[in-house]
Amino acid sequence: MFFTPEIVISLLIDTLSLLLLAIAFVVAVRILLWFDYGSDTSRQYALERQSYLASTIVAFVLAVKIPAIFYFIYTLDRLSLVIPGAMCAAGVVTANEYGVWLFMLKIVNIYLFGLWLVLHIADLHTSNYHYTRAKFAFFLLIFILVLLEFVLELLYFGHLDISQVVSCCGTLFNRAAHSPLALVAAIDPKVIAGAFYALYAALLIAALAKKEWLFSLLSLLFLPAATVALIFFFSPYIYELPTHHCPFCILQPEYHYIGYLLYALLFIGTFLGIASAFWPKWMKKPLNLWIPFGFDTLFVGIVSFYVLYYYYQNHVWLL
Amino acid sequence: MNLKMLAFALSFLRRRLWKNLAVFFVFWALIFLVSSAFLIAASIKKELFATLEELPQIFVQRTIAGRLLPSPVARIEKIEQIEGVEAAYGRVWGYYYFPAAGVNFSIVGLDMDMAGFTPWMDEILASGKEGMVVGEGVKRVLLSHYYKEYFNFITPSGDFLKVPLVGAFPAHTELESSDTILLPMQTARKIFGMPQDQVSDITVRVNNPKEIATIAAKIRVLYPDSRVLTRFDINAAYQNVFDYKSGLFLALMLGAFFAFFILVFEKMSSVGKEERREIAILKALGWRIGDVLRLKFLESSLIAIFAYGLGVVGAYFFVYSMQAPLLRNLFTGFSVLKPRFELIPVLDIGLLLSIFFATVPLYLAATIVPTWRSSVIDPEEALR
Amino acid sequence: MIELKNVSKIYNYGTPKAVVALEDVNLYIGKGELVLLMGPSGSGKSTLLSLIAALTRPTKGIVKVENKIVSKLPDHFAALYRREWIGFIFQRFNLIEELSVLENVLLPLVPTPLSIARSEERGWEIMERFAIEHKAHTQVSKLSGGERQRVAIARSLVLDPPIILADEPTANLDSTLAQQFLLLLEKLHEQGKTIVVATHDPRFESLHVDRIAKVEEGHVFYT
Repeated sequence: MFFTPEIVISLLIDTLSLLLLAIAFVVAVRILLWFDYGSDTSRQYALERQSYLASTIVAFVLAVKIPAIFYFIYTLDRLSLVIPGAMCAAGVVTANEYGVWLFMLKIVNIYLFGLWLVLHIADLHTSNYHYTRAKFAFFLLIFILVLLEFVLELLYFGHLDISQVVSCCGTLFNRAAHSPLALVAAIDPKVIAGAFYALYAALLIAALAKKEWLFSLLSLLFLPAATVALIFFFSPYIYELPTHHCPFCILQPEYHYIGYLLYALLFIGTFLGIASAFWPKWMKKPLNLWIPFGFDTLFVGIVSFYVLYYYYQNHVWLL
Repeated sequence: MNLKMLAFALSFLRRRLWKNLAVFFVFWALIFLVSSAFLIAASIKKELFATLEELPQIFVQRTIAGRLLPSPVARIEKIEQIEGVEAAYGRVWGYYYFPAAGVNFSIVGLDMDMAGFTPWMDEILASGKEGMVVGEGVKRVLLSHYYKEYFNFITPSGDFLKVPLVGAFPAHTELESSDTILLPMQTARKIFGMPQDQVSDITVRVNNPKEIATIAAKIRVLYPDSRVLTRFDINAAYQNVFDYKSGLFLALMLGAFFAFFILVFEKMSSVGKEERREIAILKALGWRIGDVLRLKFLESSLIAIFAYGLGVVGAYFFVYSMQAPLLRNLFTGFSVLKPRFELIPVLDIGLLLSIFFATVPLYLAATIVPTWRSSVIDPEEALR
Repeated sequence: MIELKNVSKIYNYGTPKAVVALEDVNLYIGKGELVLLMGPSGSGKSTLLSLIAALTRPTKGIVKVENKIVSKLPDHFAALYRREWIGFIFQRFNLIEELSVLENVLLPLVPTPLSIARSEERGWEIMERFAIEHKAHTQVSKLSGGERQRVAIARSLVLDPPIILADEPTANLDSTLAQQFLLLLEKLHEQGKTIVVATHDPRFESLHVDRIAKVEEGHVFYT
């Protein structure tokens, strides 16, 4: 274990979030045990009031976690200055076996927090606290995952070794390399791109047909597909280097921070897409599927633009 | 966000100015302290890296039993034969203790071969003058002991060696070089009593910077008794030291953070009768629990944003206009020769983000429970 | 319009400190009626108003307004109900002293989705109606008693609710001001508002009322 200010701050934020969520957890358990809208006891009134505390906490933690994940990436980026071999966050994430899991769990948790808030808003709009029990049961799951995230984070930072040489993104995402992503890397990038555009077309069809469940499922697939396509097909065009595959370097100033925009579009689009399945039941009105589709389209448009622009400039395809 | 709510949050803050001012001030002080420490560390790091940019790419030192020893000159040629090495140079350098002032000078011997290393060295060598060129700090010390034109070194055999002072070099990277004396390599050998066939260590320049690590590895194989350092190693080591210092500082601050958390919690929890009544009125006028929460949260956020903005601005002023009295010693240590350097301003978004995340979530988190408590006040009871 | 059925309110219910505020109250108030709840302080009048405004829940029984049960609404709906139906005038008016007249009048509009421009427009309309627009930016603490009274009424009417609840509105008012207030109430009554006033002020007896209910020790009697 060694600490930089960024690590201390990351841990501070997560400890704070966890402490607050622990309060919400106690509330959740009490509500699951005793919440009964039909009863007129003072305990029931107290529980109704406490549910506001829990939802405030969840909203706050979500509001902290969204910028914090970008700060986490920044922390990793900075660590790449210290850890030999790392050129960007990619090398630091894979510096030990916990990094990749931690990172994925962080993203999953943000999606779950978002879904929870949708359910919470829906609950406030029912005249009898219809979803209160459901949302706190859901919260228990989230709490366990956040706890896991915290443990993983401690393990990850605890096992960072600055004397050990790690791989840079150049080797990690190289097709010939032996890396965790080697299985995906072995697929022809053109096939990956094809699958990516096919999924996008399927989203369009689902939106036209107004099939929310299908759209939701496709959005769930679109998130990993877009990430993989970004790494193996689109990033060489963004970096203008046939061998440079990396999902993190696009966050750096050399590429005009385009990564932040791309990931924001992708996250909002897929989040609303996934949530669209629950929307009619919870919110009592369907979500306009063109909203998430619009975000997806912007994402697809920007990454495609890089490919076309490169071709227009150089008259060759990179892959 | 509801703009009407924001306008009202401002009005409400104005009303309880004094209650809020206390929390505001403590929070401001906390942010100020954290920001100052971070800024000093960032400045010193920037200055160090400016120095490091001028360093050779690879250093080769000889060690026996963990101690540094002079290297044989023959090794220079051997290293130059490695593929990819552009040139290798022997250096003669060391420390000279000046008992009258109780300080160590860093003495660096220069050779005509070494031209092209740094611009100011080139300039001095081109002038062809005999004698030594010193850093600002050395000049100050010498002047205070009435050495204006020369200095008498005492060699290991006990003889005096008189070296004329021909100039002082520019001081934009003072942190590292203000204690340095530059003189011809032969003079340096005399001062240290070092034989002709030895050098203190060897520096290596390579053609392609991407091969630094590979070449360093080859040198290690060629001379197993050598310690091979690359510019990246030194860079990382310094980065590490300063990260560690700021990290340690933050860790020490955790106690203060905790105290602050309690203070905010206490302050926010003491909801007066007047305030309870007010919340009850708002509810009777059709405000939801969520609306009251939003108002209170906006109030806290406004305090946080103002304290953050003013804390950071204050720290910039303290560190760069006033050169951070007291606090800078935490990072530089006390030294007679080194302290007179300017902190160079650093503007780094990442740094500002770090300060933000270290302080603002902490404050807002402390307000949640008290805010919720006051928002669920039973309006009927509070109005009675 | 407003209907209370077998309503009881017991504070600290189920504890040794339990206090009975209202016991088995039945009350009906028709649309457009002006009703006085008369009784000494502590008799349960305020609790009755709070129950109608859904600020508190009955321990037993139900409260209906326009045939909708309002006695057991979640917070969100209770607030929406108050915004739509209830204008509240408090004892001593309960204005927020350090805010301006306009800000006080706008308080009920802040959490609504209405835009800032539309909200202020409404605020000015209602201030003009009660002739206090010239003091719009004056702090409430600098107003005279009569002006405060008009601000309080303007605030309760800014969302144009059909029901006005007033809790001891004339306590601490001199007779001129009290007279003015009564005139205002009569005017609102003529405009078709349903008005319920809780008071023990005998000056109200001169008022043209539809009904007087006597509240004594948690029981309500019509006269």
